[in-house]
Amino acid sequence: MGGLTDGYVYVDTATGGVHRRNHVIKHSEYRPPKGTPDCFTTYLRFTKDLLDYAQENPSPKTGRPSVAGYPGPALANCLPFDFDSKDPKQAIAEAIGYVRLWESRWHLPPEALRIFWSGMKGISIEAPAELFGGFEPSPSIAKHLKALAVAMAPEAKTLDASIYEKLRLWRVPNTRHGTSGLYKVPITIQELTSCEY
Amino acid sequence: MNTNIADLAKTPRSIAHAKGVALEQIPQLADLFHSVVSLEHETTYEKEAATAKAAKKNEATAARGTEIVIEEGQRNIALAKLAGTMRRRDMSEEAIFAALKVENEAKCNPPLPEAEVRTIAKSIGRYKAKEPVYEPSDLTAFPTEALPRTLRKFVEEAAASIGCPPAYLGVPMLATLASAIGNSRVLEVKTNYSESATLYTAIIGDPGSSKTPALNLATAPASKKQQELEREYREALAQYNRENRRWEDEIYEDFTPDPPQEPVYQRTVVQDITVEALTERLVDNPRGLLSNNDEISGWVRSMDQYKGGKGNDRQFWLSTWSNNPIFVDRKGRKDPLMVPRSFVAIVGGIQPGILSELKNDREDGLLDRFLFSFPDPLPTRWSDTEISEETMAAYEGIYEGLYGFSVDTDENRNPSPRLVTFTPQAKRVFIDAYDSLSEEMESPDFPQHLKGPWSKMRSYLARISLIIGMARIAEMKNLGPRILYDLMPPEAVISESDVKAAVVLIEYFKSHACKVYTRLHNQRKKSTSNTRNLTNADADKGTDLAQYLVQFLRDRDGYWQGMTSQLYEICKAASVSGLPGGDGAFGKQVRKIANAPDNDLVLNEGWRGKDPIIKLSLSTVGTVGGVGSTHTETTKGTDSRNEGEKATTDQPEPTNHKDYLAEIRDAVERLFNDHPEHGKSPDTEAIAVELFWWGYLNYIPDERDVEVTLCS
Repeated sequence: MGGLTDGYVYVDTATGGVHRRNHVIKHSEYRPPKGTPDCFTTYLRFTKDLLDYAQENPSPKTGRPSVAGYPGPALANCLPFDFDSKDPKQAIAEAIGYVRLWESRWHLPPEALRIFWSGMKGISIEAPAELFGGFEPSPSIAKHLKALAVAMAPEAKTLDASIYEKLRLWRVPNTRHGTSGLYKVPITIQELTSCEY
Repeated sequence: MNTNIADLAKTPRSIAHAKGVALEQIPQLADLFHSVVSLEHETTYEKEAATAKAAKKNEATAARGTEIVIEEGQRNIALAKLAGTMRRRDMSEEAIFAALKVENEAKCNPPLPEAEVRTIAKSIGRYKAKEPVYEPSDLTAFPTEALPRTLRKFVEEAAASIGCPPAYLGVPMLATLASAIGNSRVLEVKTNYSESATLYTAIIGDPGSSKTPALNLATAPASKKQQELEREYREALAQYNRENRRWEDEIYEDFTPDPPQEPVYQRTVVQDITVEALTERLVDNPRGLLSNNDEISGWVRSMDQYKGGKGNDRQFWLSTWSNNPIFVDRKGRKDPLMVPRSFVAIVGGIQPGILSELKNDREDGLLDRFLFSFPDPLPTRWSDTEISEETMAAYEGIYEGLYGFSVDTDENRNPSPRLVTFTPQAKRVFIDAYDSLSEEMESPDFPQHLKGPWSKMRSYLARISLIIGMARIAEMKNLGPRILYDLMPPEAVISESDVKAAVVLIEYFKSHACKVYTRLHNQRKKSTSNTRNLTNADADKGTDLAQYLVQFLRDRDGYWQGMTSQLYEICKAASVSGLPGGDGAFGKQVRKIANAPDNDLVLNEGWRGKDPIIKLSLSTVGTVGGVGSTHTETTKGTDSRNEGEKATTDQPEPTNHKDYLAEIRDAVERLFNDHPEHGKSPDTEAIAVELFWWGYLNYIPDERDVEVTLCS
């Protein structure tokens, strides 16, 4: 990808709930305050243009900087999947099944995936962009990711397709879920397949 | 006791994701991404980018001064095709390489590495100059990477263990899995058009090339299943006999209880079986069967063996390939034996030397229905490699999984396979590949003798997609949690990757069909010619010698000259049977053979210095007329001197030269008729080559003779 991805280091963040968003900073500088629940960043990365845009386009309601409507390109470092269901068993089983399916169909090593238990009712999986040869920055990257996710997990009943938005916030690992008090934690494929739920 | 997943989330934790795993591009995933992106509606931003990219590309193309651009994915095939064309014109490997390098730089985007170009030139250069090398993918090895992981592992481990080409495992494995699917599922290509999993396959190799052990291993799951079914049958039969005896005891004058149901002998595999017996087996096994033929030529020879060659066995196999109903009338019974929907998959081996027995001069299309694998032999070396129990069990698991799909029946209790469908993306890939096959066949360069097998490849594209897709689902059933399998109906879809895998496998089978049919095509020409020679030679009891001389001359472009004693030594060294005791008698025998009427052998006499020599040629080769003039030795008429027998005199033309010209004229007419583009060419040399290339003649005629026929 080379220089194409240079500068894509900014994310929008929300600390203490999604309504506290519109704080664009460098991803490497974001440190969620210890113990604060519901911390998020966008899973896509942006250039400084997003910061400038937010400041130049304040919200008409609040007058504060807002990222809403940002038209520029974004970079994806991974393809995220969110298997989410009121019945976590179903979401977990489906996540396991698709990991195995990808392994058998595309020889995608499950160990290459970053798997997280949301702490609430689902499993999120991040497939690193390297597996796809990298994703080029694009204003439409979220749409492409959605198409790709649907192609990889056809007929998935618990796949949350609403996450494929450019400015979608993504819970920060090892931060607490406000409702359950549980953490979003990384888990291994072995833990995923052997844990009881 | 396993941890509850909720417990893991009570505190933050740290694990190293992707530890020890190289994050490398997976080509299929990259392809998938590009294909989904291409389907997406482009934004203005992207359109601009695409336009800019296209402009840049056009500039690059213009800079290269060519209008043709060969993109990635097509470069090897395009260059191999080009190399084949050059080889046909007798260009050397080096010359081909030099020309390919230029074309590669000029037209390929990006150009292939030079080493790959060299490989193409080398591969194509292996072929004899006049041997047809139509198929560009002659280089294809069995594509294990197209198989689901479990199957790939089985093929690779088993091939390493046996020491045979992977194809010897892979091809019969596909047919074995096909038989497990049987009549349970068909692929709905479109409304009212579906394809089953039926495969007819044959692996080709010399004796001792480990075909049999490979076949045994590839079909092992079916054999194992058969043993299991047989045991169950024996148990059920014993139970039935007990119940039957009890039932007979319980028959009263005024009341007869329902009789027990006699168990059916379920089978998975049949061997060495007549069509009639097979039909009976099919009645009892609506799923279908695997016909395992260690030597498939025996299977062909057995057809109609009890009917003086007048039976319908070949018709049976043609029908079965299409899963048509089968009716067999039986002696002493009014009702025919009926199989409403036949299904038989075939595996077998054959030696290259007896390939022609499959064709048996019958143009009924049975041969076209076979998928051949004719890999280069591997050197036999001891190997400590063994197939692991785990791998074998996983393969058996897939077979079991497929066998586990039930065979539905309709209201008449006839098999009614459930329909499996394509995903939209898979359908698009299928359509592209289907059209590509058709376009190949419509090409003016496409050899006639490949049209039959190519037309069947279109069906096989769907069939192999079905087998790969179903195997993938069965694999998931074994690997994944049962709950997911339950969530996803197995008949859901054939995916894009399944069809892409089938496309790769079809490419493999095409290349091997080309190899097989080219050989058959050439054998047929050779046998036609040899038969004509032998007929005359038989009269002189010099059959072997005549046959040998024809082949001897053919290997030397139809001409040889030297002393009789030299030829005698050559024949002795070749162990030609029936040779006389000395070269004098030998010379006499050769002249008799050559003097026989209508013989293709022509013998002229001449001198090399003071030594008398003979000049042997084939009248069917165009150089005959020029024998006297193109060689430096003086020809002194009929004086045989030490040769002891009056020889054929020098002639300006062979006695059958008129027939020879008529043959060329006829061939030219047929060539122009079938390929009108040649009628516009004044290039007689090219026409001469085309006559041979397309099989209108089994030799390249002299261009002057071609010119004569054109003028006349």
